[in-house]
Amino acid sequence: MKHCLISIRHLIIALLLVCSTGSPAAQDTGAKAYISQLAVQLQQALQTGLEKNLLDNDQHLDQIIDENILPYVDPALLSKRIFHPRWEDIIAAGKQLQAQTAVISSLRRTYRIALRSYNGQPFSVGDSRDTPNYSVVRITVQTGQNAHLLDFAVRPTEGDWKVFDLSVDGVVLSKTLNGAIHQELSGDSIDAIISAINPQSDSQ
Amino acid sequence: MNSRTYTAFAFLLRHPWLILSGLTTLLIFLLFQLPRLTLDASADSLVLEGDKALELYREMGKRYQSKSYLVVTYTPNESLFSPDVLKRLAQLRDELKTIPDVDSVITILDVPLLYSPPVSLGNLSRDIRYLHEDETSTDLARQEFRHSPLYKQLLTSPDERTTVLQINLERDDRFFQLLEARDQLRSKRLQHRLIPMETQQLAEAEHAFRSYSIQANERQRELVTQIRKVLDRHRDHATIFLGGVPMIAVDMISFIESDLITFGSAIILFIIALMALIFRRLRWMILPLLTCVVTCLIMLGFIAFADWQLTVISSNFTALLLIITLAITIHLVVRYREYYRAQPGFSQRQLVLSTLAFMAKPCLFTAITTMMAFVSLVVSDIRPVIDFGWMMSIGVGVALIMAFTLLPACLLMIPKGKSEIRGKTKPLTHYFARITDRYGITILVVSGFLLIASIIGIMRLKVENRFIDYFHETTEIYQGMLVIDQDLGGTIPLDILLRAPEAASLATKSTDNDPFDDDPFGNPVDNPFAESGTQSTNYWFTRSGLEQINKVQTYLESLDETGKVLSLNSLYQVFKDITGEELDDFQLALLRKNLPADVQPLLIDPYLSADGKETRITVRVMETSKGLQRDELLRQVQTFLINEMGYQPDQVSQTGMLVLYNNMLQSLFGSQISTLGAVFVAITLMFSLLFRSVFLALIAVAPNLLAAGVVLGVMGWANIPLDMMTITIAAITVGIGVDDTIHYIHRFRNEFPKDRNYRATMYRCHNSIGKAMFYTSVIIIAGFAILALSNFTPTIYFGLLTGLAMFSALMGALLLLPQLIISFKPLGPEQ
Repeated sequence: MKHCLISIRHLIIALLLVCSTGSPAAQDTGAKAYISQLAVQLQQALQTGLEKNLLDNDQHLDQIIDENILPYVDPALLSKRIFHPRWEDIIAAGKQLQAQTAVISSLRRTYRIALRSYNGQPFSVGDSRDTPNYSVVRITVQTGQNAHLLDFAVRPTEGDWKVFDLSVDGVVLSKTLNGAIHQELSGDSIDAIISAINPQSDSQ
Repeated sequence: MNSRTYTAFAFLLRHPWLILSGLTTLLIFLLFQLPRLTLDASADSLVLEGDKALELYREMGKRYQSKSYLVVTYTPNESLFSPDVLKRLAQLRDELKTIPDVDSVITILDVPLLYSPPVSLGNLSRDIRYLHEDETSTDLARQEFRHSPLYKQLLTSPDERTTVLQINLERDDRFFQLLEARDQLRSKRLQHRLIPMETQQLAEAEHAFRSYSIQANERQRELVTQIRKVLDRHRDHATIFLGGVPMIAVDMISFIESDLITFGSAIILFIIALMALIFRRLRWMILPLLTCVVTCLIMLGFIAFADWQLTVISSNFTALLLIITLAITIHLVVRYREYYRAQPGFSQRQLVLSTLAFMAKPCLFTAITTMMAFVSLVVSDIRPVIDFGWMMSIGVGVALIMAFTLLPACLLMIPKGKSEIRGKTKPLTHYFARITDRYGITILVVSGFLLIASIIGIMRLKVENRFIDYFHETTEIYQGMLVIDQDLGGTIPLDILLRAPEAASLATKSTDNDPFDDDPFGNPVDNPFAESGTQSTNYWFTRSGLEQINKVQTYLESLDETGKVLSLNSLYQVFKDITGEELDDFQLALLRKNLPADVQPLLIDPYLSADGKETRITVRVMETSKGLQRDELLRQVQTFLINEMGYQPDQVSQTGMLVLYNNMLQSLFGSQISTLGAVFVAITLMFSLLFRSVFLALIAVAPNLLAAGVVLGVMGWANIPLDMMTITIAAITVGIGVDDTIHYIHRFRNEFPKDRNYRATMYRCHNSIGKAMFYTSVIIIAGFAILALSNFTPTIYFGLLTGLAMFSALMGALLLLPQLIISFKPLGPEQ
């Protein structure tokens, strides 16, 4: 009986998500549908994790993140924004991969914290704001009486959409991390700039 | 005898009833002012006037919306976490909440529990539990109170027997408005001269603030009474102590009142007993007593009329004034009796006028020197000490006027009485003359030894003391402080303010304005979050900021004198604990953004300024720590912040009651030196003028210098610290001590020409004025000794040390002074 109820809930959520992407303008459809698809995928993975009590397990969380989130992120562009205006220097030093890994580590930690507290809250995909180069798609996650607003900045890259920045409740990932390493950005050491992103880079 | 003085007094006392009527009218008018007399023991009255740290402290209070609070320590007879006790605790909390002026009451029942069980950061609002909720696990909550970085040693004692209730009081905005208005004008006055309109405004602001403070103090007193009433209803099942600055202020006022009444009355009884013993005449009991009491009432009425407030320091005012008035009166009585004995045929009027004419000059000079001694206290920077100096100076003036008007007017209204001739037994002072005569060199050697010992003692003087030692062990202040210090993380707050470096502040600002406006993709419009203006991060609420705070907090916690340390780091540690992750700035920003509405004002607002550029670390220092050296502790912390943490001096400020109190204590050395220096210079000048000889003036000053040195030396040797009250002793000693010297030398100069024999003159002086000196000194010493019965330790020290000082001054006047006169022959060669 319980199993049956869960399946019905999945179905309803999936339908809701599909319905919310029902009639977009032609140029919007891509970004919004893409994020909607990600949301469904992620929510399904989370529901499964929740039902199996696996959301406290870091390995399982990392698996969800690796499968449902990170492949859709543009690490190069996100890193460029975070390490602005020293990205060119990082490339010149041949450390762009190292820098991207640091950014991904930070993102992974953030998602771990967020996903660990997932408790079956519904996601709803709202309108998108589009420009010729990118779109911003908003997802609302309702937790109790509070609604969390997740804005994903996506742009078409190599025939697919990729997330290159995000904002949660108005806190912008790239801006915040860029602000956090402002002191290091004005220093000489590229390694110091990269390691400043992560509290304990070596543990990641 | 000066015939002009005699004539002047004859004119003045032509109609004694007129003087008595005038004084009665004045007394009645001032008696009506007495109900306006108020006492002030607020924290402000214990700190240094014009102290920059005080300004910063008030600014900080405004910036962080700090509220005044009281604490209640609650040790139930049963287990603290038993359902019954928690129910009673809730009941106590609710009863306290109903009291007017109480804003909120924080108990273990009301603080957000973050580990019981650990909350998930995505659902803080949902997961946070409170002990008052039925579904909350008491065991988990116990663990949390014992181990949480936030609550450990804050709300429950390590043995879980005691908890604390924090009663937050409504912030009195009107009080702070009036204070600010007054302080603005005061600081303007310091910078440049005020125009007449501003002077008027300042006077009005001073008056408005003082009037409001009196009301506020009264309300505070009522509040503490109400709280105590509530607590009394719960004492049957728990041991409860009330603590906190407002309660200490209220209790100190009670001590002052008690001291004023108890010691005033005790000294009056003592005067009656002593006068009866010495003079054995009813008139000599009643008239001096009447003079003393009227003087005190007139002065108290005047203080009330002038809107002055008595403070902890001036709590001895009545005792001191009674004693000084008595001293003047005794000199007059003794001289009167001498005249009566020498001229039994004189009429009452002749006796009285002769006495006044003879004693006018020495009494005037003794009064002036005493007044100067008290005025010297004005050079200290401590407001209660300054006020005390002025009050006593005026009081001595009033005492002189009363002794030369009320006493003779009363005497003139009664008949001469029986002969004052007594037995031919030698007075005790005669033996002092014999000792000086026989052991003059020994006296000089002993004095020299005392001088050296005093200097060494003075070098050992310290200002560090324990505030708790001001109170008797049986007082609630003492017991409450002890429990809070030992079990609940310390009592005296120290606030450390750290400001972001200027460059970092700019960086944050620049980040707020979006650094990507110029080039995310080479095109300014290609920035998806350009309009996202608000940046929830800032210098301190970032990983690097929090790590810095963590380092500072860890250091502060490692110090022996510190108890509970609270800062943003406490919340940071909780975040790290419950996420199990190291956090970066993005996560921190998200966490902060999603904190429930009731957590932010509790865990962030007290430690982070609204602009995010300043963070505050509050440290509770253990006042009961035997090794507490405030100045050293503050210096140590400052050194760590500058040298180890690398902050610029302008980035770091320390404030809080610990700093303010320390500043006041540290100023005591300087104040002591300047007040003593001022009084000695003034008295030497006065003596030079009076005796028309600098040499004689220096001889006269020497015994008093030694008396002041002895009392300070004894304090040094006995490890009695200088404090606001003991700092006044040296000046008082000199002020009152020189009276004996003036009377003695005045008499000596009168007697010496009779035979130009120093030793014979000494015997005559010791047998006449020596007696008056002896009586007055014995009365003063015994009178001050009564203060040793006070509940307030500084009053005890004050009584005993002033008694010792008077004893030293008497010995100096009866032994050293005559020996110096005999040795140096300042009045010329003998015949």
